[in-house]
Amino acid sequence: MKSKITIPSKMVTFCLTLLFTLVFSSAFAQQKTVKGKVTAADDGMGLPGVTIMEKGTSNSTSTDLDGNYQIAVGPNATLVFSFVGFAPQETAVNNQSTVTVSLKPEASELDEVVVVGYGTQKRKVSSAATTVVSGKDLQQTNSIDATSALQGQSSGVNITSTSGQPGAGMVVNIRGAGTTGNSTPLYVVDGVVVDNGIGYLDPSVIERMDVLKDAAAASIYGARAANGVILVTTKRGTEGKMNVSLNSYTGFQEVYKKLDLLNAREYATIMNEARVNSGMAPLYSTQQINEMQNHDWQNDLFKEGAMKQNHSLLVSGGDKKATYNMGLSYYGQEGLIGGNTGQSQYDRVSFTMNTTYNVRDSWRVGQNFTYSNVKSTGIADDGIYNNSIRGFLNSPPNFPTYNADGSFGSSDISADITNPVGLLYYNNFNETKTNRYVGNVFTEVDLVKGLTFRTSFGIDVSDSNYRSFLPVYQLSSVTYNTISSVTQSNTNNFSWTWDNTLQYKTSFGKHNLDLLAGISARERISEFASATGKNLIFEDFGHAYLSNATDKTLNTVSGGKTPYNIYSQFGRLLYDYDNKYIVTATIRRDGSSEFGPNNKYAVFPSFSGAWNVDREAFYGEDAKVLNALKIRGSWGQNGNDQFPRTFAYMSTISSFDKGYHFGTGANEIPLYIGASPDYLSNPDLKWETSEQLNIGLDATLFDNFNLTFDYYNKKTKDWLVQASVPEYAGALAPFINGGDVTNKGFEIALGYTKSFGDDWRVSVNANFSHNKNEVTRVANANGIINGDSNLLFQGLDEMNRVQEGQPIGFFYGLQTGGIFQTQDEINAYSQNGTLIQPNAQPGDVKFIDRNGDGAITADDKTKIGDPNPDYYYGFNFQLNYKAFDLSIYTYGAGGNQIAYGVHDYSRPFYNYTTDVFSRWTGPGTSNTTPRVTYGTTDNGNYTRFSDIYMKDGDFFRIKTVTLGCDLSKLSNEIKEHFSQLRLYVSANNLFTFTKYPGMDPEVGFGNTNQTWARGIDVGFYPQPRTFMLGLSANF
Amino acid sequence: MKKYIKIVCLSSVLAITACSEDFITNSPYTDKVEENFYKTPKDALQGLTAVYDVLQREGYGGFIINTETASDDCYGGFGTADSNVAVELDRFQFVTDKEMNDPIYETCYIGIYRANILLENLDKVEWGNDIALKTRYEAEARFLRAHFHFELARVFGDIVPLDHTIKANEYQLPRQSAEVTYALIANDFKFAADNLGTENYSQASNANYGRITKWAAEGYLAKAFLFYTDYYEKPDLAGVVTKAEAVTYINDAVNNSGHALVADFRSLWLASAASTGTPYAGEGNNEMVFAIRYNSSGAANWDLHEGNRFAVNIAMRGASAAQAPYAQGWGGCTVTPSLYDAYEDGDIRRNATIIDYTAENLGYDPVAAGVRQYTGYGWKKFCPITNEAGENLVSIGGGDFQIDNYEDYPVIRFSDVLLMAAELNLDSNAGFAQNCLDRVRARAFGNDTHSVPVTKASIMNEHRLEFALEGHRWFDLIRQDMSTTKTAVDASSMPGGFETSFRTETLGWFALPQSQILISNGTIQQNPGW
Repeated sequence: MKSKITIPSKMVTFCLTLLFTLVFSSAFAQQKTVKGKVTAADDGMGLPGVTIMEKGTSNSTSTDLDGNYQIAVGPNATLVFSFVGFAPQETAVNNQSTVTVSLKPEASELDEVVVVGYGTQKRKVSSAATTVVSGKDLQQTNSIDATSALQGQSSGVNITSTSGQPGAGMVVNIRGAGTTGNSTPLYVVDGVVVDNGIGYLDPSVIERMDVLKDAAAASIYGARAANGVILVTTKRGTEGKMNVSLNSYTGFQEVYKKLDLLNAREYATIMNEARVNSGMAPLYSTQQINEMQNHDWQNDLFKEGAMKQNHSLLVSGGDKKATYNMGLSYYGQEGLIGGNTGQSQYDRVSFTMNTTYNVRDSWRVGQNFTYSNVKSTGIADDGIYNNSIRGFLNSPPNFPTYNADGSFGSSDISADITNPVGLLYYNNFNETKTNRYVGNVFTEVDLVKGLTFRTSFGIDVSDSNYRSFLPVYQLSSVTYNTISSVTQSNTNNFSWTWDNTLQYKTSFGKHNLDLLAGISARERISEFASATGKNLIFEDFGHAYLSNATDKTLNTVSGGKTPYNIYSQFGRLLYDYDNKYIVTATIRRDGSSEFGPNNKYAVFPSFSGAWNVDREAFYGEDAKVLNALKIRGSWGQNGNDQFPRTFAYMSTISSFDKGYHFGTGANEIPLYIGASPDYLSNPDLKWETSEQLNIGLDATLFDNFNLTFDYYNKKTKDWLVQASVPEYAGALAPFINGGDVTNKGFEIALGYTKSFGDDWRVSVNANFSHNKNEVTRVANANGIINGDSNLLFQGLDEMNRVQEGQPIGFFYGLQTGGIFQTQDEINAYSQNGTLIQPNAQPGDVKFIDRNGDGAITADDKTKIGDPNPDYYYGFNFQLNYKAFDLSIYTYGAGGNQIAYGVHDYSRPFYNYTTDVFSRWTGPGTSNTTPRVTYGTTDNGNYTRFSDIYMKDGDFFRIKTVTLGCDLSKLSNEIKEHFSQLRLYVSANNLFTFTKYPGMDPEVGFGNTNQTWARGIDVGFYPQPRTFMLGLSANF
Repeated sequence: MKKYIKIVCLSSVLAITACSEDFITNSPYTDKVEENFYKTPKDALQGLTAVYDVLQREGYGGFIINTETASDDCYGGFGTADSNVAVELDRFQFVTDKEMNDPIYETCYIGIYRANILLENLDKVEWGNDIALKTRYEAEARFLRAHFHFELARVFGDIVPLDHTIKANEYQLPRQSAEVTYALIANDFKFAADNLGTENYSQASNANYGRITKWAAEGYLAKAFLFYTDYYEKPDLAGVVTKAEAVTYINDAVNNSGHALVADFRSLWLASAASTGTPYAGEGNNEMVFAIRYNSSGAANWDLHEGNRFAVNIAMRGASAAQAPYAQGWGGCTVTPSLYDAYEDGDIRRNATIIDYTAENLGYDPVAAGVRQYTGYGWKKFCPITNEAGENLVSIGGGDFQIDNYEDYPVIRFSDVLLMAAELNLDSNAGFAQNCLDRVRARAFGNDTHSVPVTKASIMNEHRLEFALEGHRWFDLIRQDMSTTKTAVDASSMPGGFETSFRTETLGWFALPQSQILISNGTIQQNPGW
């Protein structure tokens, strides 16, 4: 905890010090004068206003602005240093003339407050598994989104980028993926449940983020907490002079890693070899090859030096009656890809205002409010059809970006080759503008002593306008658009939450009791409208609005509304005896509109207990090694009602895509509307439930080490599975509660903070999490949820699944046994005289006939990889020396595999990376990479998903390195005006250590149709490396 | 003050509790639910339209593509780097994709479900005095239910016939013998034939064009009769329709339907009209007895199935403006030289049915296009077309060339009615049979000097030539017998990657989707030979 003394009180202190010095130095002249400095242990800065008292006397003084003091005391005196917020410390003078002490913040890790649902609690008496990340740590990483800043800073939370595009989402899993549906944690900002993440918030306004991991911590949020809860607290004002803080940085981004693609001559040589291998004539003559101009498309892909900047201003202050905190910030980032044409750009302006007002001692009112405006344009970067990046990695290197006449260059090899620069340009005219308002008003009334009523009404509103434009273009005979079109859509989400709680806190003897009862109601209404018009009057994006479309007959319009309501009652009991034995019980009952009358309500209980061993009598007061120890345990249940389909329990009758045309004529004929049920109903549909057991301990070792360890076993039951219904039922199968998954693991977090002398301070935080994910039930006929085909390219078979006994989304393919070197080897690979791979040729992949039926079929497929990391970790280091500070934030993950599918095997003339040099070219040349062919091989070397696509995804990334200098510590002149004036340089994504061959090993992408699919790299928007120069000032 | 606050607190708690049950009960805003549907004749029409809609789900892996690939008229084709499924279909192999025939299976059962749920709810509709309308809707729905059953039964043999929507306790029904299925089919077609009026909607600008008529039902009944009695060697159609009745029905369609042949065979098809300079007869021409309607109104929306999605599969792979008027596609189902050679010189159907790449001087480079199993012959029927500048007509209209092709697919043309009449009358009225066959051949050659004696063999041959690439050939082969099928299919293969060998042990049935066997928990076995 930092000093909150502001300048007026500093002045007072200073004067007082002066006075005491003058008066007492003469009065006790026979005594010895002791000098020294008092610093704060957490940041090594001098502490002004610390009271220093000679023990057993009334002789005292206090420190000056820099923490220096001077006091005249007897030679055997003991000095008592005390200061609000810091643990008092006694030091014997022992004839020293200089006594320098470092005060430890009283709120050491175990004494801090933790934020729990609907309130706060002293960490010492918390029995839950939670992690806190301070706003300071979040801000240090210079991230656009606090979720991204959280990466590597909290054990048990695995955060993976889905794309390096500005504003792209993150995959956040707390203790593993618990469902094949929505596994996103619940975000609660200042008590308001928010949907769709917290990307609207500027990280600089965040005071802290508390991650609730176990059931005991999260169960107060019952129905929504099965995936864990992230509580965000924004900064509030404090009493005292107005404090202004400014933080500003500007940086430049560059590509961290390019792929090593074949140059034109290498490409031509490989193409010729491929064609010969496929029994065709070579494509290029030697002369053609020699004359070929090389073109690395990646040079056109990235905008080197794409800019990123952030400027935020925070003003806070208050008095005894009222406090305020206001923030205004701008964040802007150009995309590394698409930035060349301004087609990937993210701008966010946000404004935050938090106030509290004490109407009287027993009555407080307040509000929190954030408005943000986000404008973003982005390029399509997911999947194989809608991916602007993939073409750059596959286009042959022997045709230019532009022809001499300025038009987009085209390949003469095949009409299927499309100029990727042109494709990116034409297909990515879009912008999304989102206004978002999140906030609440609350009032708290102390009814009688210890009993507080609180009511809070919060809203989360987002209003999003999307607009896109597709111009007329022709890039090849098969890639063109003949009619310009515009799409405009508007999505409005309005949700409100009304919480009412009664809290009663009391103590009798050593018994402390905290009771909470509450009700909560929430409504969310999503409405959208979308329309497309064609044939525009103006053929440019700036004018692409529906009214400019001349072709109304081709307009398509849609619109709809999705309601969601939930009503909850909850209660919590927190009890401790002498801060020693702690018991917590929580119960919550929810009713959700997602369910039919049979299962509208569900009850979620949790129990936890903790034992502060260090408070036992037998525990030595001055335990040197283990200063504090708490043992915790919890069990509880949480729910999830967020399903991919609303009204999943009903058999709804829809009219979409059921029309038919009677009458003649190609287009003008009337469409008859059709309607029929799509799904069979399941009125018994109910909640997903996660049941979790947690055992943990918190300890302080050697005064400076804080250790937290947790073991958990989390079973998520009854997630939705589409039932197995034979196709002759004729309608889509209903969703049933048919899936269970277990996530088991442990987490260790270790922190170390120590100051060395006045000038040095070191802080290290490390965390490590291990998680094992196993699906234990899929209640359809096969116990399998099949993955989609065609995920890496058109023509590839199923590659991932959800299956009993396996981790969610494991990679499912053939095992390979090397490359057939000779025909003899192919002939030898037989069963009962029949060749197992009759279509193989030397150089082809040998697949393992696992079931021994003498043929390679889909039945031979098995688990060949796991996209879920076994472990992930973060290591953060901070060093302060006088005015200088250095911080390093890192994280990593490992034990997972990625399907490396950047090369598109559906087109034989696509370019390769230089990995192809390791191909088989004759006996003994390669046992891992098959021969090249021009098109599919009968053996299915690449069209059958096998372990040759699997690459280990282990990586360790240096996320942020920052070096700063606080000028106010160097110059008193500056110090008069600024309490901090810090200049810093910072780098994001400085190094990534990995063996993964793709551009970025952090592959959060999977399959947009199946949210459980992960780790599929089909050409990925890599995270840029960014260098920034920044300034932060406080005055 | 405190008291006042307490009252506010308490009342707010009560207020929120009291309305909780309503608060958490919602219903959809953009869909109906069963309780408020099937009330009015308009609802019933929507239910019926949803059955028709399923007809448009033809595409890759569907009825036409898969059965033509299996027949002696086509190879697998597609691109050199495409999945091997098409070639395996052609070779009667079953390796890469155990769901290769699933689109047929799934689509037909969706159609059957939609027909059944409408039929089950027809009595709930308030028809007022308009019982005739109810009968008409019932006839149309039953016709369509029979259509989907018939497609299933011809492709898979024994199936699970369904005359009702199934409940959760019926998820493991066994397959029924052909007789059971065909009795359902025959009764449905018969109901439609007996209860629909005598209207013929096949005129340009007729607002009902595309709807089912009595004549379509009579034709379809004959088709089912011929297939069933031939394949299963039975004297009648599952005890429901005797041969004499079948003859009566088909003769009625020949004589009284008002349908006729269009004068020039080339005018029936978009691409043959465009490439030969013949005026296109257009949709709603009098030869169309029952056609599946396609159009471009999906306007590049992949979620909508309004266009013809099989056409892109058979169109020219990598076609460019140089190949105008033929628009591009994926080069699937390349045409066998044996089909081309089956036509006599002078038969105008050859060049109306098949694109001859060399003779038409298209300057097409199959290697650059990356087409697999290129034979020099492609589909002209259903081939999408461009304008003279080589611009794809679908794209110009704002559609997607893959999904918005608009050429209708004729399930029954009047020439089919004539040839079925020839076949059914062969024993009883040879003169009428000869006359029917002659009408078809006279149109094909533009004169009446090419008459051949009417026999079963000559009818079969004529059926192949007249309906090549229209999804009929495979069934004409297997209904004759397995050896005829094997002879035809095996003889159509060539060396150099075109080898194919029919496996008679399959009895001509396709492989059931493996997933449906697994899900049946043993009640459904895979077809023999697969």
